[in-house]
Formats: sequence, structure tokens, C-alpha cells
Amino acid sequence: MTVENLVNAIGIVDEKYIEEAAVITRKRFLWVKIAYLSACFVIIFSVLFSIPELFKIVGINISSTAQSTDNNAIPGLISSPMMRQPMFFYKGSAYWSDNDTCLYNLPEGYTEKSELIYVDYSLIRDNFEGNMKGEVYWNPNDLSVMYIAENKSDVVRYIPYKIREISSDIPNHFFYDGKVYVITSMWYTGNMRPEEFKFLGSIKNVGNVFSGIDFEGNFEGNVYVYGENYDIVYHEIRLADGSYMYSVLKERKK
Amino acid sequence: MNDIEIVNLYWARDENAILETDKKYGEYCHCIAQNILANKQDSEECVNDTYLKLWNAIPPNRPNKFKAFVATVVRNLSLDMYRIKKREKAVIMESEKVFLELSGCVPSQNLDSVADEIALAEILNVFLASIPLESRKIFMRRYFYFDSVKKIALDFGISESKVKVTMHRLRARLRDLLEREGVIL
Repeated sequence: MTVENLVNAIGIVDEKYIEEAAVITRKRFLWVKIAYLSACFVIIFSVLFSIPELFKIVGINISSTAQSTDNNAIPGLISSPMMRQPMFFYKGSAYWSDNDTCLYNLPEGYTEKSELIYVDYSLIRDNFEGNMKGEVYWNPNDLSVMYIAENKSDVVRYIPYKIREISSDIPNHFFYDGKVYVITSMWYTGNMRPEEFKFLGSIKNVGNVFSGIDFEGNFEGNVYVYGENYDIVYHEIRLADGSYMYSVLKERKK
Repeated sequence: MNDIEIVNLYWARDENAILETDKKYGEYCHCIAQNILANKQDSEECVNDTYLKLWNAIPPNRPNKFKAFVATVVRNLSLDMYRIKKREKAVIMESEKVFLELSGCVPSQNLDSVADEIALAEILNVFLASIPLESRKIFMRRYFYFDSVKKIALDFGISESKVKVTMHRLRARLRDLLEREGVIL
């Protein structure tokens, strides 16, 4: 036997061994490379998008979100440094600071109040930064403006907040009971919701969250929750034709 | 298109058989030929010859494992060309290394008869069946597909030295088996 015989014999071994050790072709290598490079891009962009300030330079708004740390507390808040406009959610509606004006006396008529447990935002303007506690005041005859009493250095200031049109700037968000939810998936069906979801309450004035899937505009609906921490919210909307649209909403974490 | 359908095209004498073979196994064939010949033009020629040979071989053959059949054909044709190149003193480093490594498995070169390659293949089948899967793949990748040590190490996610050590042990084991089986060379 010569080496030639041995090489030739290796060429006629059982085909299963030939197939088993099949060569990784150049084409496959190419795909591996493409997959590797794609993964790198995804990681790089993920890191970049996690730093919103970077995108300020190119004019892209990426809002970061905060919420109440106390589940029993009513308000949650979106702090939006990119928008330079502190926002605040209370009882399912969104508010933003009207302007730089701070009143040191509550305007007449604003007597209804509710305790504001925790507001987490950075008020960049007006030399104020950080979290605060306070009280919310509104006028029962005019709900378009509310005031938050901010107690800082023994000086009480009243900062006006306006009710925000939710639909305009924050797509795919949904506010309920002072918390912010992000829609992660949605589907349309004539069938009812899964049984494991528990009815939480009704909502109104949900913004333009469904544009692009044959539905657009504000609507009313019911909110169901799943899980003890309500980390997944199941949102049901009854459409005009009597059918239902469902969406899975995930509470947006800080 | 699956392998059976491609083989059926050959049997139907449909020229799409070659197109489909090229589509599915073109890269595969090029890779094997390139490993052995280390020359793009020669590899291209071998792959084209492979398609012609497949066309002539099917029918009458109806391979059960078409992929392995294709690999065997392209390997044989590439080795034929390699031998021609070698006679022309054209050195092909990687293939030379493979032949050199395998020469260590041959107990004696002073023989007057050529061992029956089919019988030898049977012994190799026994040998391959007796070794672990990864070792078997490494053996085949090196000595059937003529892959470089570097490429094998990369594909298997192991170091080159581990590949070399594994191959060294496998060759020693093969040599023992050949001696035990009385393959006097």
C-alpha cells in the first residue's frame, strides 16, 4: 500500500462519514460574517440609543421615563430631558409645565387638592433639579390647568401644569392611573380576552397609538392586567363594528 | 430542491440537473477543489469536470447520498489534477502536508503489491466507527476534504495545537489498526 492507496481509500469510505463532516462552504462563512457584523451594529446602536443626549445633536427626541416608586402612589412621571419640558402624569392624563412662571400664591379658585406623593423629574429650568413631593391643586370649574405646590427652602411655589394632548407626541404610549405603558404588541380579534387577565378599569382619551394598522385616533376601552406587579397590561378596545382590538402593554420602566 | 429531485433530473436527462447541482453544491465543490489544488482556475476546471462526470455517472448510478457522491467525485478529480501538477513539479503546500502526514500511517513502503483500496476502505470504516464523533469529523475534514489545520480549528472552535494533537493520535491509532489487520504495505 502506498499513501496514494490510503488517500484513495479515504475517498471511498462510507458516505455517511463524508456527509457528516461536510465542509463549511465559503458561502456559509459569508453568512457567519454577515451575522457577526449585524450583531456588532445592533450592539453599537443599542449603546448609542441608550444615551439620549447624543441624539440631541442631530435633533432626535428620545424621552426617558420615570415613574412613581410607590405602587400605591397616584402619580407617575415622564421626565423628558430631550424635550426640555418636564411632564407629569396624574390620573391617566398627562401634564406639562406651562412656562417658567412660578407663583408664590395659589390662584383663586384652585382649592381642590390631592397629595402628590412623588414626582421624579428634573426641572432643568428655574434652578430646580431633582425629585419632589407636593400637592396638586386644580379648579373644578377649569380642569385645563392644575398646579403643583413645590415646597423648597420653605418657600412654596406653585407651578402651573397644562393638560397635555396625549395623542400628539408620544405614539405607542398609554397612560393609566398615573402610570405609563408602552404597547409592545397588538392584535385584532373578534374574540374575547384570555381569562387570566383581570379587569382593572376603564380608560378614556388614549392617544393616537394605533396608527398604521387601520385604526387611528383616540378611543376608550378597558384595561386588564396580568401578573401581580401589573407588568403586563392587556388592553381591550371595542371598535365601532362591535369587534375588539387588543394590545399587550408593558409598563415602561425607568 | 432536494437531492432526490436533483438525481431524478439527472435520470430524466434534464440539463437543469447541472444548474441545480451548481446552485446547491457549487460552493461546496469549489471549497473541496480549492483545498486540494490551492488554485482558483484549476478548482473551477475541476468543478466543471465534476458536473460532466456526474452527468455521465447518473444514470446508471442512483446515489443515496448525493452530497457525499458529489464530494467524492470532485475530490477524485482534484486529486487527479493534483498528481498531474505534482509531476509538473508544481508544489501545492497544503495537499503535500496531507500526503506527508498520511505517509506516517503506512507501515512500510517496500511492497510489491498494491493493497486493495476497497478492502482498505472497509478497514477505514471500522476505524472511523470506533473513534468519537469530533475526532472523526476532524479526521475527515483533514484527510477527505483537505482542510487546513487552521480552518479546522476555527470551525470546531479549538486551538490549532489541539487539532494537531488529535490528528497525531488518530494517525497512530490508524497505523496500529492497519498493522493489526495485516495490511502489509
